[in-house]
Amino acid sequence: MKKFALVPTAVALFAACIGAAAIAQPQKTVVPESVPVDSAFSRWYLANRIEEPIRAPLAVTINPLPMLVFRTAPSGPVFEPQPVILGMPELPLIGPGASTTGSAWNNGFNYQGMNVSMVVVDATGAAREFRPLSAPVRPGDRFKIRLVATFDGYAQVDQVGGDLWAPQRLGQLYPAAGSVVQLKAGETVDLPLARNEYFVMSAEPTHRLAVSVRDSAATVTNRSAQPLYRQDITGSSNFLQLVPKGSRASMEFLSTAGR
Amino acid sequence: MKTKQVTGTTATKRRALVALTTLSAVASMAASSLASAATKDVVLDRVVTPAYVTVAPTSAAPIGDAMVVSVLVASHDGTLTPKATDALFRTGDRLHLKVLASRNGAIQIYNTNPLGVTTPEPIWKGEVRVGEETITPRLRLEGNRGEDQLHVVLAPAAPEGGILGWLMDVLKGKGKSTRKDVVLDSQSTPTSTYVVNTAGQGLTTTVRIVHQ
Repeated sequence: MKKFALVPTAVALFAACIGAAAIAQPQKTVVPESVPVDSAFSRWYLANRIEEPIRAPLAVTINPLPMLVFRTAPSGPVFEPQPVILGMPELPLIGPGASTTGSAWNNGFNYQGMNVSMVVVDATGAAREFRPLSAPVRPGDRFKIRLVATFDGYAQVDQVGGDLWAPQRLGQLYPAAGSVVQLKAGETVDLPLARNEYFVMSAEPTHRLAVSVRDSAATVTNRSAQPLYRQDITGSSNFLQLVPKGSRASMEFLSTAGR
Repeated sequence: MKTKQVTGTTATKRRALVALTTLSAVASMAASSLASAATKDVVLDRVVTPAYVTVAPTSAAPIGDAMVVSVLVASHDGTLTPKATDALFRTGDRLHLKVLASRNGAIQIYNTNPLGVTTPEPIWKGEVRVGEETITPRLRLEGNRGEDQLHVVLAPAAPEGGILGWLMDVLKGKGKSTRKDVVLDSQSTPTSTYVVNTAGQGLTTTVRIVHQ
């Protein structure tokens, strides 16, 4: 009889331990189901991208657009690049229709996004391949930068030099200084725009490109100061930025040459 | 016969005691696992929920502060790799600290040097807003030997003894203090540390930088 009395005691003890752990948790409030922003953006991107094979034949004679060359050591304002965090954000996607993103991305969402692909002419010169930013172009490579964003915006490419930890803007590389390339939400754009024009990556190890894409309604005072999150996928990289209410997307990333 | 009966009874009691002890240990581990797995969920719940609220929070008493902290390790290609605060960092590492919190508030970073002296003034101060991430400028600590510590503090409102006093009290108590409104619980993943104060306002987590 005594040994059977131990069983209810053990069960009671077990229940008490679990119960104590459960009591330690606070009451939860009722909120909409969280939507991970990365999977929502992936759905949007798949619905809007131009499908091409990873390697596609090249049918034009390339007109290279080399990086800026300086007779004397260049100098320009030192800047701290916008934070680009490798990985996924913590906060979920919030906004009307957040759980049903397809070909449209709501301007009322708390995130805006952009997909970027480096379109690189391969060694044979007869084909081009699509690469994420984790597979950087090498010095001498000829390439385009393919963009598709969830928002209407303006894009430009600056050349950056200086110390690797203290970059300096050296000048606008594309388009010509004083102008920008206009993008529509969901529209795929290759920079440079001309079909046969390609950038050429400099052999100078400190030369990089700063690619900036900002919402067409973004100003100095309302552009989002939140970091970018970057996730590399096959053939391209996804960027996501939290855009608090009242602010507009403003994204910039550096493209460095691989060695 | 009597000897055999006594042995049998003792063996039975011993087996029962072992079973009870084992079951208690399993129950305790399960409860502990449940509680520690819940810390990240509790923090995310408290950090995410205010983002759904369209009206700014009033002065109602908070149910307990929560924050997510990551150490962002910079590389020269401009990218940042997130790590938890309990990862070990080395002299010369270029770091940013990223904070996401459950309420608007002040973030302060204090430094304890290898001699164990904590700076009276924070090395960095900023604001955190609900639903937004705050990232510090790039920090770099160098030294010849020992260990520097950076204490990331979500400051409670007007603590007795000031924020430094509050911090020293909590560090001495290793997450609990004589202040009854501080009971800290934390959980780290490879990329973030989740901290919650189950008793009230104020949070802290520490980053260690080793100099060799």
